[in-house]
Amino acid sequence: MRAAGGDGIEALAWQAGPRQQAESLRMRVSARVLRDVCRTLRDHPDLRFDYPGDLCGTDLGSEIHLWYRLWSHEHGRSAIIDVILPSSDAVVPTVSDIWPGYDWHERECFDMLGVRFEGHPRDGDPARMRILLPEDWEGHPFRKDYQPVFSGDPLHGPQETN
Amino acid sequence: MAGSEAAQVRLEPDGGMTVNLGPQPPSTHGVLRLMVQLDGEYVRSCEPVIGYLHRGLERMFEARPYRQLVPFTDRLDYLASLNCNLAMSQAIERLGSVAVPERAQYIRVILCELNRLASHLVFFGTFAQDVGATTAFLYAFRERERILDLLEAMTGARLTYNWIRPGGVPADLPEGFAEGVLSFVRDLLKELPLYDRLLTNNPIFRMRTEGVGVISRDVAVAFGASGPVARGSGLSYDIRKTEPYEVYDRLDFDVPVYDEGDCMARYRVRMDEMCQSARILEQCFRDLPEGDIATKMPKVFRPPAGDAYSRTESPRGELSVYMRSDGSPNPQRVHVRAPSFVHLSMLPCLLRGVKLADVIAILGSLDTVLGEVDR
Repeated sequence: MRAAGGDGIEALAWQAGPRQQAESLRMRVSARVLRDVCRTLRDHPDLRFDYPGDLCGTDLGSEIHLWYRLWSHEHGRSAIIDVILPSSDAVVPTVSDIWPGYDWHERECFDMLGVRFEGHPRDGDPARMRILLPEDWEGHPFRKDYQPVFSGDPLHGPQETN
Repeated sequence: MAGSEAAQVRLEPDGGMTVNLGPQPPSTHGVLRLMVQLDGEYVRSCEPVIGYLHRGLERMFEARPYRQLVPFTDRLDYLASLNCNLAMSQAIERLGSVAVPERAQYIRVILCELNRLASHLVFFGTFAQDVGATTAFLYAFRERERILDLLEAMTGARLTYNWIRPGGVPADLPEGFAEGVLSFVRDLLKELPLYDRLLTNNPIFRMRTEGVGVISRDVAVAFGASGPVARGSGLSYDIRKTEPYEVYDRLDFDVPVYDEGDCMARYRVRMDEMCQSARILEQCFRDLPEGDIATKMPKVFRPPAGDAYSRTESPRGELSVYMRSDGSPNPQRVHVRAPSFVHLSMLPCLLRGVKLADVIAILGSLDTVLGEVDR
C-alpha cells in the first residue's frame, strides 16, 4: 500500500469492524494519489477490494470530506478511504473507471456538494452530471452555506435564484 | 435529472428513434423516466432520468435530532420500511455505542423478515404483470394483505411503520401475534408450490425471462450489485451472512444463489428467499427470549464526534447508512446507500442491444423502489 501511494497516504490502520466482523482497513489519502491507491486496493491479491460500496461527501466548512467504502468479496472485509479537499477547490480524480459502480455515486456527490470528479465521463458538463436535481439547478444544496431561494409559493419550490 | 426533451418520440437523422418512457408509466413501479434510443426494435442506448421523487431527505436528517430520524426512513423504501428503520437505527446505535436487548433484536428480525416477505410478494405480483401474467398479482396481494394485517396489529400502520427505533422497539409483540405469523407462514409454504405451477413453470413466462437481461458475475461485482440481483448472478453475497447483524448469526438459513444472471434467476432467488424467511421466522419464535425490548435513550442524544455506518440486507440488497456526528444533538451528515440506486445505474449497460419489450422485464427484475433511489 505504501508503495502505491508514497507520501500521499497520510494515515493507514486496521480497525475493528462495527461488531464481531472482520477488521476493516481505514486510510486517509490525498487526492493526488487516490487513483493509484484505488488500483492497488482493487488489484493486489491480498486486498482485492472489488465491490464499490458507497461514497459520501460531507461539508465540514472550509473542507470537504469524502468517504469511500469498499468491500472485498474474496477476503470478506471492508476498506474505508477518507479524502479531505479544500471547499474552495473541491476537485478529485474519478474512480468511476476503476469501479463502474462509482459513476452514479460521483454524480450524486457533484449534484449535492459540487465536488468535481476529474476524468468522469460527464465531467465539465454540469447539466448532464446532475442526477437527482433538475439540470438547470443552481448551487449544491448539501453545502452548509447553501441558501434555498423560494418563490414564495411552497408548492412550486424555487423559481428563480437571486 | 439530466436530459429533458418534451417529445415522447423523436426520429433521428440516421433512422434511429428516441422514445421517452415515463416518468409515469404503470410498469416502472414509481416515477422513473427512461430515454431509450432505438434502432428498429432494439435498444441502442438508454439514459435513466431520476430525481422525480427527490425530497432532500438527507438534508432534512441534518436538521433534526437523532431520535426524529427514523420516521423519514419509512419514505425511503416504502415497500420494506421496517428494513429502512433498522438501517437507520443501527447507524445511530453504533455512533453512540448503544447496546440493544436480545429480545428486541429477535423482534427486529421478525419484523424485517415479515417485511421482506411482503416486499417479495409485491415483486412476484408486479413482475408477473410486467411480463403479461395478471393472475399472480391477485394471489400475491391476498397473501401480502395478511402480513399487512399482522404488522398493523403490531405497529398501527400498514406501510409507514416507524417501529424499529434507536435502542430497540417501542412495544412488545401484541397478543396472538406469534400464532398469527406462524399460521401465515404455514399457509405461505403451502402456497409457494402453487405459485410455481401458476407462474414459474408457465412456458410464456419462461420465454419472457430466461436468457433475458443477463448480468455476468463480473459486471455485478464491478457495479456493486447486491441482494437478489447479485445472487442471481452467481455471487453468494448476503450481508446477513457476511457481516451478520442483530441475531442473524444464530439463525439457520440458506442463501439461494443462481448462476444464470437472467431475469429468471433473480426471480428464483426471491422465490427461494421467501422459504428462507419463513424458516427464520419459525426459529425466531422458537428462540425468542424474555427480557427488555429497548435500551432507554436520553431525551437529547449526543453521540461523541466521529462517524459510523450500518450495513443491512434489505429485500432489494445492501442498504447502508453512513452517519457523522460533531457532538451536537443533530447529525452532521447522514447518507443512505440505496440498493435500487446502484441497480438502476446498471441499466444503460444492461439494456444495450435488448428488445424494447424486454426493457420492462429487465427493469421489473431489478425490483427497484424509486423512494430510496431519489431520497
